[in-house]
Amino acid sequence: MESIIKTKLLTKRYGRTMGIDTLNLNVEQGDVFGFIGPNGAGKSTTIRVLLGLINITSGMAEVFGLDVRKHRKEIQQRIGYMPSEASYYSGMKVKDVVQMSAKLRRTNCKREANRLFDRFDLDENRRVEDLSFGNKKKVSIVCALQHKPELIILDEPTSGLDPLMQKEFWDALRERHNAGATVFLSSHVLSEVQQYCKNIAIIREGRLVVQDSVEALSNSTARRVTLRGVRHLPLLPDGVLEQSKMDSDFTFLYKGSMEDLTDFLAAAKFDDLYVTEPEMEELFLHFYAKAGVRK
Amino acid sequence: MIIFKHEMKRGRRALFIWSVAISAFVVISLMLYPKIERNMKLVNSILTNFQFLTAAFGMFNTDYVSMISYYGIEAGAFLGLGGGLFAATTGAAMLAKEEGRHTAEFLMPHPISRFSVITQKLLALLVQVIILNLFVSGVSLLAAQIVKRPFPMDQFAQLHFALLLLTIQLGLICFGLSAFMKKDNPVVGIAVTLAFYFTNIFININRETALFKYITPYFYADGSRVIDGAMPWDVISISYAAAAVILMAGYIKYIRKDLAI
Repeated sequence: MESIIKTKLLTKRYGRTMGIDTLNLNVEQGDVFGFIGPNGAGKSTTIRVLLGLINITSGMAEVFGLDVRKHRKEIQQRIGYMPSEASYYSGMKVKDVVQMSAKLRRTNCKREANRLFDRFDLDENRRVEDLSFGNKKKVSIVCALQHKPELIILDEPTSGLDPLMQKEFWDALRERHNAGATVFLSSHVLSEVQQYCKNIAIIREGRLVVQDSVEALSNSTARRVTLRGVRHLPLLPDGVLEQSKMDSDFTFLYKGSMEDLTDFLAAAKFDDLYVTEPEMEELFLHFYAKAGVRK
Repeated sequence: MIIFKHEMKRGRRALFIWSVAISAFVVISLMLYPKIERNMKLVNSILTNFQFLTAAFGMFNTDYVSMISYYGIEAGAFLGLGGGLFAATTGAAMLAKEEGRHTAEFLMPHPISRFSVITQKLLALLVQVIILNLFVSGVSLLAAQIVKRPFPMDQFAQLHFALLLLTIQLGLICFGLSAFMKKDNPVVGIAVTLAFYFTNIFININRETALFKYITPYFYADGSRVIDGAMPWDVISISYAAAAVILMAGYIKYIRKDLAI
């Protein structure tokens, strides 16, 4: 499968501050790729490098196989971008902003723009400074999708949107994806990433922690083990990532050999046992624990 | 030319207000001229007694109150300073406002080169400055007709050409500086304009500071110098070369910079 986004040892420094550090990413054509990390992890910095808004300190970044430093204009022609917080020129109407965006791309997207206005229940005649945060976000969605780009880059796309609009947004995105578009989105809402993305990368302090498919990560060997009515607890086996005890219940996240686990359970005395797949959130927190960082 | 049109549209209100305000001051001063003319002897004697002050404002001649000399001082003050402030503050905001108001994140991900962005914005600035100059000179000609004291056209044209060069130069300098700023700050434009304006006053008061004439555009656009003689092209050339260097540095900076979003 062809790589749509590829970075190798991508590094961005702001003076002494590290933005992103030797980041290796690979997003393939037709993917819906989630880029996860907390605020300040380097998600927006990575996106801005890909868009050519900021320079690379070292390493390389390619979009559509083109170097972002040399082919900024060609790359941007094929991208639809939605920033996390959109700012527009005060005094302009929604339709003027959307039309300006289309003109800057030298395309006429009036029909598609009107369809998106209706879909997202957006009043095209309102002035942008009168819009709520959520409605500004909708303007961003229209600007990002109206020209039917090959690659859609979204920075925290659903923050500020009400649940109904979030659903509409994901439906619109799914339609574009089904039509062949690749989607790259940053988020810290794990549930939506788990639900909508095929592959994810987790970034922490500018460094890639892990990149894998959502399925593989969810089906990783890690298991949530919960013991109810614990009367005796032997020595914990290797591979216990995180544990907690409440009254007579004991729960832990386990990623080790099954043999060790069964030995442990055989030695323990308890009333009931639950072994479940961990939630994405748990994996996320696990990967964020310093000890769990893969370098 | 989308960005050019966009800037022209966004700047039209400020352009209109500045043009009307400067023209109003010029018209009022021209309307007062017949009264001053009637008391020419008195005015002459008063001004002769305040040579330090008159020199500061470039009133070196005994012919203080011919229509064109009077206009040269008034226009120099209102169009030179007011127009200079308009050009400088508009120029200083032109690039920096995109980052300061976070609209760069809307504009710059579009497939348009930074060279094109900066060039279209520069063009919008120049056109606005030219419109302001044409508007004020047109209104002045009209006012001169009303008070029935028509200008000698060659001197009038030379004065306004010098003022046009002055305002364009201030605009270019501040536009170049704008590329180095992360927020649009009107103080930069005001400071640059006033610094140049007062430098010329110092030159007028103290001839030993004449070397600074290559720095300030107010020197070559000074009403008394322009009306009485030929344009000092050597000064204009050096002065514009300095502005071109700042503009070029601004181009290089803007094309290479990390956008502050």
